[in-house]
Amino acid sequence: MRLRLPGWPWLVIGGTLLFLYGPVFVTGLFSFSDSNVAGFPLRALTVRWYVNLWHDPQFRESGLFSVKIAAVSTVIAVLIGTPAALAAARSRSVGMRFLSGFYVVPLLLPALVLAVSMAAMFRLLNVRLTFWTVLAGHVVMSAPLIFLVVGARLRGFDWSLPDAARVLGASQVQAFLRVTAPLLAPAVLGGAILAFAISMDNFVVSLFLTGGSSTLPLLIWSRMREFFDPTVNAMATLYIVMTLLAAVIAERVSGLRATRAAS
Amino acid sequence: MTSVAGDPVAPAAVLRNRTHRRSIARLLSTVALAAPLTVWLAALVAVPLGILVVYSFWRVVAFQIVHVYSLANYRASFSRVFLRALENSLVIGLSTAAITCVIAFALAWAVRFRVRRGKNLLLLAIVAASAGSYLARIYAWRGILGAQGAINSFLTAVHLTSGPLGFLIFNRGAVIVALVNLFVPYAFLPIYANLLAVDPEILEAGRVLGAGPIRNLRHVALPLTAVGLATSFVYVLIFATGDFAIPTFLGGPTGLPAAQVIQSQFGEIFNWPLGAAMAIVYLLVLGGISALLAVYAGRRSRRLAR
Amino acid sequence: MAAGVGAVAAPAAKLRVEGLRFRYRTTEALAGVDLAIAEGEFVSILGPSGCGKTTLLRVVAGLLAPDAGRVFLSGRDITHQPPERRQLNMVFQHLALFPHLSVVENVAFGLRFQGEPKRIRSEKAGEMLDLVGLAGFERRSTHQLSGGQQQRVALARALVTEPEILLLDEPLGSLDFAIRKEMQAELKAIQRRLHITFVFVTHDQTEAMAMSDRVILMRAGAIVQDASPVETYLNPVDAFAASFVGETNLLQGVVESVAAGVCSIRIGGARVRVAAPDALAAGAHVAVSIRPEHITLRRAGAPATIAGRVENESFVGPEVLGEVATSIGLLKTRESAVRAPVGRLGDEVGVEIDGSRARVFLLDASA
Repeated sequence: MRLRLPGWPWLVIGGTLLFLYGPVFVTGLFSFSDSNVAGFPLRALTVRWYVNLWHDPQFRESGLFSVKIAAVSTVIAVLIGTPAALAAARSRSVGMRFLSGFYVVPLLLPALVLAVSMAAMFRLLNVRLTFWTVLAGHVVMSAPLIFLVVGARLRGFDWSLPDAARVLGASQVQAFLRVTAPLLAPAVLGGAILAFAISMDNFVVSLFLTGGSSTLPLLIWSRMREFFDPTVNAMATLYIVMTLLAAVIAERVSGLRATRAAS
Repeated sequence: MTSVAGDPVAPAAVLRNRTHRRSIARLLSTVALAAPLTVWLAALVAVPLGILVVYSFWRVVAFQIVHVYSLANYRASFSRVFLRALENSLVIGLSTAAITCVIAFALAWAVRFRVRRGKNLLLLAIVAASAGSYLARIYAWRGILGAQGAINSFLTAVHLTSGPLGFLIFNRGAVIVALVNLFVPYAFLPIYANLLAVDPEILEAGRVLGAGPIRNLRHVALPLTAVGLATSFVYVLIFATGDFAIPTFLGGPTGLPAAQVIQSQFGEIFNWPLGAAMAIVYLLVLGGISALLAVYAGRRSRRLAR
Repeated sequence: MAAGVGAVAAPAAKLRVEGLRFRYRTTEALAGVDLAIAEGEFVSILGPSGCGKTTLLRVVAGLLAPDAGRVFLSGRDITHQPPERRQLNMVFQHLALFPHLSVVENVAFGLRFQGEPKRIRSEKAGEMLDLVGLAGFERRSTHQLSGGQQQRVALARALVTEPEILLLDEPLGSLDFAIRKEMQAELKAIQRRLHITFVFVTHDQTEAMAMSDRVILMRAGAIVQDASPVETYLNPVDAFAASFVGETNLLQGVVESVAAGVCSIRIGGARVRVAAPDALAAGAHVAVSIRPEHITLRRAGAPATIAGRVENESFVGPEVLGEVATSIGLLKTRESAVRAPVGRLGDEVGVEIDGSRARVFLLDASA
């Protein structure tokens, strides 16, 4: 189907990519600018904002906190999401199908509603807001993602493989460990990396469920409200680079491989 | 499981029990696998939502939350402030969803049907664009659209303008631009996945049978991609409407987003029950619109195909 | 059920099943199956899709638990043993090669559970790969192999643990025609060499006939006939068996008279005389099976022939397959192409039927 515009596909693609990556490049550019103000023309290049960041105790603290939350919540999400995906693959019962729909609800509801309702519950039960409350909230967002990713892998799974292992002498547990698990591992890993990145970037849920401590996004949020703080540019650039890397690695390991094969 | 060796003929009842036992064991193991996630989500999503509903009926008296039941909060939700905020958010959400889907559709079409080599790299680039801090992105837009931001300083430096253009930021347009930028990669995926299932020969058949490019798009391509489009549209609508950081930072005085109004009930204003009621109203409105859209898309795709 | 001619009733049967029943949702996949297979036999289980042959195999393998009945391997009751404890192996329809393991790791997989040390496992796997003609392929990944090569890996994997019997579930279905023929011969050769009992499931009757010592024909969860290939072909037990195995013309008619082993049957507008047991009574509705090779085409009007016209003919290698319209129906014929054809397309011919080779079956509701 050709419109009268020759070369339009690449125009669309190029233009859109430029648009999508624009903010990324600009932030990165200005993070090296030796000026308190983000703007052209660039007077000089410097890395002092990064150096400032390195010496910034708040950055260290909230960075560490975010990483801890992300790591632990991802592990928990994998531990509870993967078995659920296996259960959904094994059973076609009405109950299981209903549960599969229920598991996806956290990804569909506006984050604000989720955060607010969790906060309301904690308040009602007089639960103090700590590391554990933030963690619980993050798992709520990650576990369904793991469920979906592993579930998608299981849909195309060849169940005659563990059957073959059993006929060859493996018990059910051995067949799972030696055949099913290694084949699921790439999907689980890809999902985990995505979940980690999403947890690091989580803003709304963290906003409502942290007590005194701060996550990295919350730190950026509070710094942003003070207008001209160039270290935010540096923080933002670092952030973007790291999550971009995570996305690339996740794709490498699983994910788009299926889309590629189909196209 | 040992065999019953030496036993001439086991009674049918014993055999049936064994099969019965095996299927019970299987059922139990499935339940055990699904239990952790179910319990977690029930405790942290279902129960809290229920509690939110309960909260919405309570009241605040002298900065204390009082457990008295009334519909007062719901009446208060329909105040001008909240309704205007809701309308604002919905307008932003619908515009964002529409623009995002058009761009994502064009992009997906181009990649699916017109790109021969380097497809994998392109796909990676598009998906990777969704990575990157949400907040940092907002900050970046300020740096691009602001009075001393990239665009303005560039234009001034090359003497195209004499002063900063004020209309670039702190209005609805800026909010929509930032939201579209955020959501295009996410909207791209369902649409692209849908297009993968479309055989290019079907489109060629449409042309051969006499449909021009626009007609072909409308009568052949769109019905086939309705599902992906609808999914993306509803998805972007939900998240764009509910966003509160972007409108807060880039929207300026043109109007509070509903999310901000709700959030302030839980923050400074300390009227949790009212906030709860607003959240519920918001959920219902959004849910209703999404459901209507889904039904409309389903019916439309069938009609268009005729 | 019908244990036909040739069923081995040896007390030391390698594999024996009794009264197997299996119900899947509302269908009876196995409706009481009894079977005995002797050591070293190559037996095919043949039937249309849905007849229960794969279900039977999976019950024997232990992947399904029967609702009723028993399975005995070398005299031991294994009905409730899990698959890993049974001393048998299976080659799956789509081979089920482990994609995350190399060729030799695939083959050696089962040896691990027999407690063999690693060195011995690699040795045995290497020997088995040699046997199936894949020496040197050890380190390869399974995706790099052709269809025939993957087959051999699956076979090697199943044989290396020295199972008492080998079950094969339509393993050659996905192969090209030429490779399939080759693999059939190889499977047969390997089976003879190792003297392992093979139970081979297929829906392709030429395959079953070519490879087996015995053919077990199944339909709707029950065994219809259990006999050697030749016996099944020449003496099918009912109309279904006659039409499923080999080509045939299946005609319906009414018995007019029976005398001295010869039956006169009215079919359509003509009368056919066939050899038939005296047990048939006049007036009985029957199905008559006449194989194409037992029909000869003569000049139109020749004595003892039925008038017909050639409607279709196709030249297939050394033969001409024809369709001749007669008063008893559209008959499939098969003539050697070497001899001068009696009738070409559109010609009138005389159809001569060798009644002594026809088979007659009483028609009941199921035929």
